[in-house]
Amino acid sequence: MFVVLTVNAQRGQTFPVWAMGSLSCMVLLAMVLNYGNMLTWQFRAQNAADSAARGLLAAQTTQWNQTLTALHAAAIDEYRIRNILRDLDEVVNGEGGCNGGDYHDIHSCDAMYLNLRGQYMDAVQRYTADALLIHRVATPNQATQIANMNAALTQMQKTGVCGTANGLDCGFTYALVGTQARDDNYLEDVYSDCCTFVVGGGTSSNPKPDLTPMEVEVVACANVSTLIPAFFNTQAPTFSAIGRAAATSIMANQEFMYLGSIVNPTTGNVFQQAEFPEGTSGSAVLANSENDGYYRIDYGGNPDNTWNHGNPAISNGKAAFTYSPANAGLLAATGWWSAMPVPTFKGTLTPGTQFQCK
Amino acid sequence: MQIGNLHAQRGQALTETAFFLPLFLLLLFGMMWVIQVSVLNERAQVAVRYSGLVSNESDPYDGFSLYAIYNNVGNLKQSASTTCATPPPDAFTNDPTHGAFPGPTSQPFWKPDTGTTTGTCNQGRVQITDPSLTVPMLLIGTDSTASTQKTTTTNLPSAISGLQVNTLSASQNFVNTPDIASIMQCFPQLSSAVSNSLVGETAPGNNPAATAMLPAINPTTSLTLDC
Repeated sequence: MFVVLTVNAQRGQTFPVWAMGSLSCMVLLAMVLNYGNMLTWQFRAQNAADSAARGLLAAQTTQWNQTLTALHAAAIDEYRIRNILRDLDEVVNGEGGCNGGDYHDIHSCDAMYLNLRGQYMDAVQRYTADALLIHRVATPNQATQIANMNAALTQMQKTGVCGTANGLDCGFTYALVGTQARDDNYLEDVYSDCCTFVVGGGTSSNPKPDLTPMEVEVVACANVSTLIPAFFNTQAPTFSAIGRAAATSIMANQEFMYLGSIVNPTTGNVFQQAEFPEGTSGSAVLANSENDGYYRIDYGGNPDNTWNHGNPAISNGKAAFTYSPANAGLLAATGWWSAMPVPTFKGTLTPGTQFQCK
Repeated sequence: MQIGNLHAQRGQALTETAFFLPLFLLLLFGMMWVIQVSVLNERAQVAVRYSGLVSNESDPYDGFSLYAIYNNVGNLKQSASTTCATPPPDAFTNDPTHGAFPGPTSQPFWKPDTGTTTGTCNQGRVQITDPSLTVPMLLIGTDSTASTQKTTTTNLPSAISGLQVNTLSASQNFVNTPDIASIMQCFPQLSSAVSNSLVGETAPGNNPAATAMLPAINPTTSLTLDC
């Protein structure tokens, strides 16, 4: 009887099972919630670090793009100056079709000389301005670029700037943990061309750092409280959301462009149109194109100049073209710089020393 | 007396089950809800990453070329050329239809509510001119935002199924090297010199006639940044 009573008394004792099951579910729910939150923060941290790393390289890439822009302007004026000097030589010697009248006659060598002289002086003036400009934009070296990166990083995470269109993600503290000249064999470098020509006084194996693409590594870090910090007096620790990202300066586009031959789709004309410095109207003074050929500045190479062969260049109005460079046409060979993500390179980092967490 | 007690305890398990089962189901439902929310939150981060980090690298020809210089001299002014791609809904649905996110299509359990996914991409120029920089810095900012909704299954009681997730979103401002058009438009001293050289003289005297020799001390002051 006693035994029977005990068995019957335990009927319905499912409370402990349900209680433990429900408790387990609650713990599991809290863990899933925290884990999901942690993953989201990790994604966010990685995005923040990638953004900062790529953006900071503008300290180098913009400087180089500015330098190349000014160099291109100087190259145009240099080509122009050389052609005007050729024209001056011709009119001084009474060649190329100009006549012997006085300067009131636009067809006279005297009138053309005056125009060419003025154009020459102006071209030299512009060339001088371009040279000064190159000096101004090319001044910062790699050490200055890195200092500017750190200063920019400080600015972009300031209160009132971060979280806006002018700043980075406010959730993190950022640190520039590493910079180095890129030393690799998988991305084309700037320091040498096909013929091992090396710029800046460096060598192929030891390029000059100031003219070598940089790699930077950035850490974005935040200490994040868990969504359910306390559960039955068990304090869940905060976790660190850490994003590590590296980026490098990369030549985004490389160009070989015959400026006087390829048509600009926007204007319908060649990029650098022919000029007639011997006159003031912007067009040929001499109707005879053969004679005009001696004075015209043609950036694709002057097809009417009998000393030139292989012209005119044939363009299909698009990127591709056919060209026989048999004379002095102007070829712009350049490349433009941007930034791209690369693998991190700093190895193990020490929190609190090399970077801080917000 | 003892027999009476035995009868009183019958049905106790049913009572306890009736008490705990809703709580237990609610917890299970909550777990499913949290998993759905977490996955969609991560996908929101992926969506803005695709918008700001991946897709705006896609067209270097407009952004970085002589073409951009020539279309910003004289009277020409090129519009912004860097791609600003709206965060794609495919990032949430994992739908490979558009080719952006190859892989198996998500099952309905993981998908957000139809038609609730939105994304914005705002592009602008970031100017950092603080004196702590020796050279002012110009950046292109791609501010991307993605958001979506996930309503719980309608098989649950109305009080629960009314629970909606309204703010599954992510936002990130990705900064990058400015394109050539921005450099031409934001550094007026550079733009002016380049324009003069490339356009040449459209009329006599359009450019300064006096020839200035290189000064003894060349200026090293940085260019003015003014977009």
